[in-house]
Amino acid sequence: MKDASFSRLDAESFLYAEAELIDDWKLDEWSALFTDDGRYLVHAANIPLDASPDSTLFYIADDRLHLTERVIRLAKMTAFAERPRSYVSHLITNVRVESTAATAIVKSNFLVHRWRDRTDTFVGQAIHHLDLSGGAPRIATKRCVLKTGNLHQQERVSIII
Amino acid sequence: MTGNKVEGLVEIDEEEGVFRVARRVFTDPEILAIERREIFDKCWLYIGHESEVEKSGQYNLRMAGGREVIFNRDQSGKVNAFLNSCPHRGARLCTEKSGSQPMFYCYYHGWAFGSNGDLRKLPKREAFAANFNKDGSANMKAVPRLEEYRGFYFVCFDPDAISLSDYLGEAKAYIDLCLDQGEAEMEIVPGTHEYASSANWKTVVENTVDGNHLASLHSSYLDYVKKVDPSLRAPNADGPQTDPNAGFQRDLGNGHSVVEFPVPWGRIAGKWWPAWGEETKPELEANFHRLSARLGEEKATRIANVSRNLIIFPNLAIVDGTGLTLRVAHPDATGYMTISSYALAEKGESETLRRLRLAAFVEFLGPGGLATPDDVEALQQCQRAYESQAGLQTYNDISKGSLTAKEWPFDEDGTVRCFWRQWAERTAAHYELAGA
Repeated sequence: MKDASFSRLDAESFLYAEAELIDDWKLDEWSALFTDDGRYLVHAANIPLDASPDSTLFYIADDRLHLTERVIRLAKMTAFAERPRSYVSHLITNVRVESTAATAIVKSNFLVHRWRDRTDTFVGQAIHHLDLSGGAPRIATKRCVLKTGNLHQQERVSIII
Repeated sequence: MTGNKVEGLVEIDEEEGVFRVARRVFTDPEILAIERREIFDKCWLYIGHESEVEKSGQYNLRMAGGREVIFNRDQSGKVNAFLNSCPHRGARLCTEKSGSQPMFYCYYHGWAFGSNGDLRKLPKREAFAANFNKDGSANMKAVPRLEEYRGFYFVCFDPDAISLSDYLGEAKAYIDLCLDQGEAEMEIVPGTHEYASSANWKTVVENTVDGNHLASLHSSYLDYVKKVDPSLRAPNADGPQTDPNAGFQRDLGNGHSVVEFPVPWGRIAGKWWPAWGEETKPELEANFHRLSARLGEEKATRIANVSRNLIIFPNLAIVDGTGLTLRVAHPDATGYMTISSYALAEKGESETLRRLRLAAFVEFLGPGGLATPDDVEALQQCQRAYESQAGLQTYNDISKGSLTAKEWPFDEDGTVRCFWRQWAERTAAHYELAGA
C-alpha cells in the first residue's frame, strides 16, 4: 500500500467498526481483526509509552493466545465479572494518522462507558498499529493508555476497551 | 471472650463444629474505627521493598493503615518512613508517587527538610526563638517503628510492638520459600496495579487463603488451563502431582496463614508448561537444576512445583503462584478498599524469564486478568448483601473443616478462621454490641 493512502477517514471508519464489534459483544469478530501475532495492551497513564509489557507490569498484556482466551472466557456464563453483560459504549475522537507505510499508526482518544449494576468510565488514548500489507487493515498492536493513574474508580477492566 | 463466643461478632462453637462471623464486621463504621486503632495502629504493616529505595534520595509514597507515608533512603544510606505531611501546618511534602530528591520542600510556607527528615530551611529563621526545634519537633515525623525482613519493609505505629521478626514468627519460613526460588536478590518490577473493590478490606484477605473458591469462581480460568495442557484432565499416578486439591492449609500463628498447593500451570522457579512454548523449556529445566543443586531436590521440588498464598496479618498477601505478587488491601471505608499489587522478580534474570513471569502474573491476577475481575465481582456482591440484609441474614459461615486442627486440606476454611481468630482477639474486647 502506498504512502498517505490510508486517510483519516479510513482510520475513523476502521476504529468505528472495531468499536461497534466491541459494543455489540461480537468479540470473535473483534479478535479476528488482529494479526496472528497481534497484541492487545492496556496500562495506566504513568507507564511510559515506550515501556514494554515484557519488562513492565501492565493491566492487560495479551498476545494472540491470551486475546483468544479472553474472548472465549467472556463468552461463557462463568465469566462472572461480565454476567450479565455490561452495556458498553465507545466514543472515539481526535483521530490522527501518524504515519502510513506498510503499517499505519493511528492515535485516537476514547471514552468508554460501561453500565451494569454501576456506571464506570474509561478515558484515554488508543494507539493502533495497523498492518496494511494485506487487503483489509489488521491490528498488529492496540495499546490503550488509561488516563487515570489508577483504577480506584473503575476497580477492574473486565470489558474490552 | 465470653465462653467460646467472642462478643457475638465471631462465634465459635467447637462442640457443634460451627464457626460464624457476624456480617456487621463488614459494614459498621464503629468497627472500622476499632480496626484502625487496634489493628492498623498496632500491627506491622508492609510498605515496600528494598529495591524501591536502592539509591540515596529515592522515595515512594505508600499507604499504611490510612496514612500516607514517605518510604525513602536518605543521603547517609539509611531507610526511613515519614508521615507525608509538613510538621509546620500539615501540607503534603511529596506529591509525586515516587522519585528521587535530596531534600523535601513544603510548597505551603517554604520549610525544607533533608532526606533524613531534619529541618534544614526555615524562612525568616531570625523571627523564631533561638532554641526553636531544639527538641526536633519541627523535623519530619518518622513512623515509630520501621523494620525489615529479607528486603520487605514494614512499619508499625505502636512504639511498644514486638519486633517484626517475632511478629512474623512461623511465617518467615514461608517468606523464605518464596524468596529462595532465585539465587539473586529480588526486585519490584516497574508498574503497580492500583485498583479497588467496593467491598470491605477483610473480604480480599479471606479470599487470598480461601482455597475453597478456586473450583467454582475460577472455573473459566481452569477451563483454559485444561486446554493448554490436556494431560491434566486425567489423574497422573506416576508424574508430579498437579491437582490443587492435593494441597493443604496451615495456621502460622499471629493471624498469619498459608495455603500451599501443587499446580497445573507453570512456575518460573522451574516448572515449565505448554503455554510457554517448547522453546522456553530448556531454560525452565535449567532453572530447576540450579535450584536443585543449591537446595537439594526435595526442597527444590517444593519451591518449584507448589504455589503458596500467604497472608501476613492484617493486610499483606504474598501470592507465590505463576509469578510472585505482593498485594496490600487498604481499609479505606467499610464498603470500599483500594488495593496495591506489585510484581517481584529475581534481579538479572533473563529477558525470557522476565517476560514469562509478567505474562503469567497478568494472565490470572490483576484488574484485567482472566481471574481477579471475578473475585472483585464476588466481593462486591457479598458486600452489597451485608449492607442490605442486616437483621435478616446476620452471619457468614466459616465452618468447613476441623475447628481444632492447625492444618487442613486445600479446600476448607481453616486459614480463613486463622484470620478471624486473630481479628477477634485484637478487636472484640473493644466492641460493645449495641442492641444485639
